[in-house]
Amino acid sequence: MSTAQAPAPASLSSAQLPSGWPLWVRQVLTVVRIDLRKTLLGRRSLLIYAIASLPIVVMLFTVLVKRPGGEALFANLADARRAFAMIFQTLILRGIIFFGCVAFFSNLFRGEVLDRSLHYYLLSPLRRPVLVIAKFVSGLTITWVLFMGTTVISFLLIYPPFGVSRAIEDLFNGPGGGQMLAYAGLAMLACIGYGSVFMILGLWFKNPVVPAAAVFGWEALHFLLPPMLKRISVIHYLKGMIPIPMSEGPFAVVTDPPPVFLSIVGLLIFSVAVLTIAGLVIQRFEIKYADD
Amino acid sequence: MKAATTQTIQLENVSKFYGEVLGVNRVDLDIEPGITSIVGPNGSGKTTLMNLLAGLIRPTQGRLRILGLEPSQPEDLFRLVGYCTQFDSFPRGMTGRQFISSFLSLHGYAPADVKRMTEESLERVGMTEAANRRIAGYSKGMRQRIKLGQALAHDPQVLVLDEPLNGLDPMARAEIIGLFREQAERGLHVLISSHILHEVDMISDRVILISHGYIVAEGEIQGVREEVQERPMQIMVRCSEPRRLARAILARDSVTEIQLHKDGAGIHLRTRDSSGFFDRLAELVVEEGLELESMGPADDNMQAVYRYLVADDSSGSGDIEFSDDSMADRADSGDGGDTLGEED
Amino acid sequence: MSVYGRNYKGYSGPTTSAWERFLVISRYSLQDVFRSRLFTGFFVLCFVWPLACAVLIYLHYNIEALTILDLSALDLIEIDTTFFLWGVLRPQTAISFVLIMIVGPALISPDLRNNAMPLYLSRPLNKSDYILGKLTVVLLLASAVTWVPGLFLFFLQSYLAGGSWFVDHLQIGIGVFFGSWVWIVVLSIFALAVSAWVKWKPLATMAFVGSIIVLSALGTVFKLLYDTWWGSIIVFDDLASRVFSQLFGVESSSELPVFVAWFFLAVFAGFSLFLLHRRIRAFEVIS
Repeated sequence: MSTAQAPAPASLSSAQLPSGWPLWVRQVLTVVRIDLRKTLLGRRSLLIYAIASLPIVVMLFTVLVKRPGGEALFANLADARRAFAMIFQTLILRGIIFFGCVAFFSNLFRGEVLDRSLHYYLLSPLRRPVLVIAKFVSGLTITWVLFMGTTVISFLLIYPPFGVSRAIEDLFNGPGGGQMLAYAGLAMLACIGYGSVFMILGLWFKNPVVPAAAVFGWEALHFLLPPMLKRISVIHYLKGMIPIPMSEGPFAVVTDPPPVFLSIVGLLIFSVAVLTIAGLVIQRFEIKYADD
Repeated sequence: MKAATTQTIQLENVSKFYGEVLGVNRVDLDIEPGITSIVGPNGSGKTTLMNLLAGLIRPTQGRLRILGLEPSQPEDLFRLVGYCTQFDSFPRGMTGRQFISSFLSLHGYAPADVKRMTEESLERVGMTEAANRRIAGYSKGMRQRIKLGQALAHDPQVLVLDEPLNGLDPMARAEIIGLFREQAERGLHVLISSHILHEVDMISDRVILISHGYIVAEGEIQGVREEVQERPMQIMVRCSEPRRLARAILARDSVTEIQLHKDGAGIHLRTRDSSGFFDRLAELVVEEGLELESMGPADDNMQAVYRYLVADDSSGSGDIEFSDDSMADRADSGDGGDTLGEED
Repeated sequence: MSVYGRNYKGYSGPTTSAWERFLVISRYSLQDVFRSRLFTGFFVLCFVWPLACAVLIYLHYNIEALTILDLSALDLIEIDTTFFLWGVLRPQTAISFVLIMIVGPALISPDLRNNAMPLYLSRPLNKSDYILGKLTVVLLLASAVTWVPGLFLFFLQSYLAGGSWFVDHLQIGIGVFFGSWVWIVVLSIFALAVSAWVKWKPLATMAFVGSIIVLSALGTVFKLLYDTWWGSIIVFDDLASRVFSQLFGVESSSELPVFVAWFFLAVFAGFSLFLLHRRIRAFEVIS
């Protein structure tokens, strides 16, 4: 190190730097880049990919392994789509997307606090509400890439036993294309809804597991809830958009799901409200790592 | 960005409580450009004060502004401020270069500028060669330097440095101190915290002494030293024959008070002339054939804190408590880099 | 004379013998666990159901109380194998799952996060002592809510029923005892393995629950798709249920062969132990 030889700093004047929206967009992109590198490019990311690709493994299994008697697993495409609906609702939506959102979104802030690195963001010329949005966009980017990707690939894997021409026919002229988009949209909305909830839980609670478990219980028992309470669950808004709904059993309190448009708008309004609260929470957030 | 409306860092009646625990209490400061050192023992409130300035924590009461800007205006404030915190932690998985460039990008610089400024900063702190290695594998000194590099990268007008010399070897200390000087000569505010006054007094224009959350003295370093010289000091001496030692001291020395320690293995005494006392004690021990176990300041009060913080080499206590005084005092006479060069 | 020479006196008192040294870790970990008032409250609540069961058994044999309550013994649930399997063991194992979920994943992750492993393993303790010490904590707590109250209820019923009830229904006692142990040992080892691999406590808890739920969902999907019992090999509850049925000597509705259930429970525990042993070491690898 040589202070004598080091070049004099030649920073740009503040006037040359962007402000307002151009600055915020650049800041959001920077935070997303940092989080993507940290989450998707490290060695740990292999485990994340492995978990996210479980439905793909299941679908591959259905392609490669026939019934014990040697007959094809699905007699026709309608059967295959029904099977995918079951896999989506049982494994993808309630399993992988739910727990994936808990892991990624509750970690966005709490993980930085535990790594004792949140202060680097708070010591940057970055408004705290912009940081909330940036972190949320990070979480969405990661979960969308993983879970929408896994949903679409899994769905496409119902076609190999039926051949390319049937697949193209079903996707472009049959119900397949619409259903695939619906499942991808569901995965996208589920990430928005669950993501906003778990991000604020990660900001509020040192240990977000207990509230996350409560949310899991609430969502799992949603079918028993009276109509009024159903409205404050994410799954309620998603159910109306599922192309092939599953039976909820004899004890379910049956209500008509909201129209698709209302479901989308409702979920978005809910998420914006939660993000607004998160913006207010982080304004009062103090760095006291010793407490964590 | 708003222009700075004033050239000082101002704290008006600032207090911070963590529940019932006092962080800092009623701090009023007006800090001008140059190097200012905040000195106090561990737990005295230095980091709280610095975190308050940076907005990492909010004051329970009072108001603070850096060059006219409040911590609630981060977009304007952190283009002027670079803060090197005491936290020895980094975002996971980053290399040194990524660490500096990522957080520079948050300022809104164009990618080419980010690249150039990152390289300049890495060179300034001597981390260019290690820049592509992961920070997790750095030594303590390297981590300290990369943090400094990050705080300096955007060429701030105010540098807040919490214990910046921790973990640095003597050579690196001298070089980093040279860097602080360079910044101060350019008219910057450089605010340094330390629990060892000798570490920073050779470069500081001003010193702020803090203890138990209170500012106990502030001003130019010479003035603070003189104020302390006037006060009596309590000393604890532990030995095998405390009664004989006490009698011998009373017979020869002008101490104001001697008490036998309750465990019977030492004495407490008060003296206004601590440096003379330590000199005479050495002679007395040899003459009387006494065996000493330890000796040092024993006060828990403000004077002891002063004494601990500003004890000079002539006190004689340096033999035991302040082992690097001699280096610091020699450094006092010249700049850190030259003095240390002579040492080598 | 050096300070060392004058003042330092090495400890010369008695030391804990090597075989019981792991209990030091257990002792301190237990203290940590009970530092949380919330957990202590939960732990107390774990005994409410066994207490209710004890009252029920007692009522069966107390004519006076039945008269006061205007009941006859026939109105009450019969105390038999079904009662002990579905009324005692299943609820208590479910409660112990929550207990292990709270305690287990939090036992090792803080030590790894704070780089405390070199401190532990530089003492006269080896890796196995450390793991055993931590495992003992979960086993003790989970035992306290599973087989301990289960056997208490079994002995209470045997005492009150008198005669040959104890001998005639010995299988119940065996089922409660061994069934509980299978459940808590496998889950505890798995919880510790997760704790050793996920350094953040809450995330470790979530990973513990998440992996069990995701594996169950995956297994259920396979069962539904192929209409085969093979999906059950990754559903922990299916494996345990099958083993419970065998231990209690009752018919099982599952087609899963019992030796397969035992085998995959052993694989589950063995793999968890392997993960645990790989992760617990006295040094940190920086990559």
